[in-house]
Amino acid sequence: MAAIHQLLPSFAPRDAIGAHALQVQRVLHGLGVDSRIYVGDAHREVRRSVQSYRDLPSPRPGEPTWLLYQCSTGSPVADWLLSRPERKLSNYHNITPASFFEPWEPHVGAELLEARRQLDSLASATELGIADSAYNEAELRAVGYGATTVVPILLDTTAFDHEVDRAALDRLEAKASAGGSDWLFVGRVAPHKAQHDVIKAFAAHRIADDPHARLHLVGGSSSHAYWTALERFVAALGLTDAVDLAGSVTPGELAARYRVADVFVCLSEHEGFCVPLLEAMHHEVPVVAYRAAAVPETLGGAGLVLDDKSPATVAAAVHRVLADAPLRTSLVAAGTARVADFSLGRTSRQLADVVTELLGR
Amino acid sequence: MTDVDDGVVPLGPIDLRQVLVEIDEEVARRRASGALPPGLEQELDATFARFAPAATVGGDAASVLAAAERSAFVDVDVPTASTLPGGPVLKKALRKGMAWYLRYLAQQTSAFNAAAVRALRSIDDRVAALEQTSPAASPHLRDALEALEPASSADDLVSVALVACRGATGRVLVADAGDGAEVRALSGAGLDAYGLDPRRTAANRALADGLDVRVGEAATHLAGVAPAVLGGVVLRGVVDRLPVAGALALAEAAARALAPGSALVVRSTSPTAWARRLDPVAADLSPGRPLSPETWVHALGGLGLTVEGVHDGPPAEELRDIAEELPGAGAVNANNALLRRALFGPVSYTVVARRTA
Repeated sequence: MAAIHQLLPSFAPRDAIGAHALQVQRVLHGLGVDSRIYVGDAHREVRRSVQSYRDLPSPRPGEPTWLLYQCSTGSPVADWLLSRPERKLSNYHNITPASFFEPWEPHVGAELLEARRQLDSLASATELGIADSAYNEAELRAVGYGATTVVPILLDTTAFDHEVDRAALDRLEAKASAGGSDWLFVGRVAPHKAQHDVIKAFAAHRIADDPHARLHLVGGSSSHAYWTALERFVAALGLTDAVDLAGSVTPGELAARYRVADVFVCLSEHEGFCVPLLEAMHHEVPVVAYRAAAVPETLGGAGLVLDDKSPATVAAAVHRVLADAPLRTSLVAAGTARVADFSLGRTSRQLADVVTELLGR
Repeated sequence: MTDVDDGVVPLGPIDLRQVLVEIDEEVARRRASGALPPGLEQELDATFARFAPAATVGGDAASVLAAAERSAFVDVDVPTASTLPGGPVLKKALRKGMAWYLRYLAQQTSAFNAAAVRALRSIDDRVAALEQTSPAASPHLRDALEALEPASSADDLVSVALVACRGATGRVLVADAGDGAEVRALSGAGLDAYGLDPRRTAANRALADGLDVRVGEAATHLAGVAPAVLGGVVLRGVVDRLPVAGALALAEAAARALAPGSALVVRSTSPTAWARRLDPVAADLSPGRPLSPETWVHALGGLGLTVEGVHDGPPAEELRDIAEELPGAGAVNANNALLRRALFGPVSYTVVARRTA
């Protein structure tokens, strides 16, 4: 019996990479492949369902065994992996370039540089690099991965449907009843996500189009310095009542935010895939986004993709989406169809095909 | 359903490419009408820069020092706002409890930071003093040279730029826009033009006239522009005063910022006219001097641009023709024409090059 065990730097509930690893395990089990998950750090909620990477047993003689590394950040697991005798696979979810963090959080920048070094050092030892976007695949090839393929992240898109937090929805709808549109962006508050550019565009929109508009920025902080700068920026613009730096919210509250959102605005500078784009399309919220990294690939033509994210351009684009009902309807319909491209059944089959070919080699 | 080339596809009956073109047109209309106040975007950038680390916003030494100065004081009075019930009270209690310890550390750190910034300011002053003795770096000489730029040369430049940038979909940048004559003409022709000028007075005058002209150097600005987004770049003035390496680096930055199919228009004073018109001392001390058109053609070709042509500016005016009715006027004026061509040539020239797909 063949075995493909997964190695993760960390494992946490509701984490996209963790959920992906569980789905990968399900596909592997379906193919009759032995598969367990070994992690560097595990959140206490899920500690019982995984094992420490240090507990990985030696491979059994005669049993073809691969170790599949879920690569998204720096970790001692990557260096440890290189010392193992098993055949190696990498599943690459992208590593944020250090340059985005260095001015804000130098220690995070150093960690990301280390993560890139690990990605490079795994190249020659890896039999197959699996990237969840063509953009990520190009990065793998650029650093020397010979055999690569693309399999989108395995997501149960029906899990985007959470019961709406009624109290949160009432609160948001009470504000919406005063008029004005609701902008939404969901993602970690981090320099490469460029929430400051969203705020600039939103400020221009309030001046040119809609003085009652509101902006919801949902996501936990990856940089205290950047978060603080955003808070001060919002205050300096006099937008404290209009911009909600909501932080991390419950699934029910997130569902409420999607329910009231009129447009999802993503001006991120760097994304290896960007799951929130799919989530927005799933919730039938039209997307306006800046053409960067894997964003246009994930949208697949189902969003309004801008080459220029100057505040004037983004504000005009959002205004157009809000005011042009046929455009809005078309974007929503295209978004729904695009999400279907990433259905769990489809992506699971893609992964199964890759694994089947690998086992047959 | 996807178009992996550019991610823009017909969306049922709606063509997103056309929507994007219309959005660009709407942006230009808003800028022209004042619906978006001139200078708004610059103001937003400047406001965020107040709170961002200097390394993220670029800028000159003075603004970086100002950013360092703003960050020098370590504030231990952390914000106490919270969305959780009782959060502010808890945070205030924590702040109070920790302040006696943190303030002791923060005062020492702030003192060190302030001393370090003061030292940097002192170094900056000494560098400025050195600049005054080094013509190549002297902003004063640069200012003096700007004042020597030939006047009344805008009309022919505008006509060349209009043809070169016709149909541009992105914004068109005019470097050294001065009071905005070229920006006004290009905007009037339906292009989404904006300008930069390092002379605050001139830029502010243009801004007051409702034009999008910002204070700044073209090289600094272009370094922060995303690749392949501009619908055209007009470089004038600045190329006359930069050292050769600086002029070529500027052209390279402009080429990088141009969208495929867009034009780079380089307007230069002719070297002979420049030397003739300049005070000899200023000419000798100048950090840079205009290049010959052949040099620009060679350099722009080396950047992968396709040079479409070199257009001569107005002729020199040193030799005036005499009235036709005077005796011998025909022969005198014919000789004048020969001398003008041989000795003086045009005051300026414009090179048009295009970035191919």
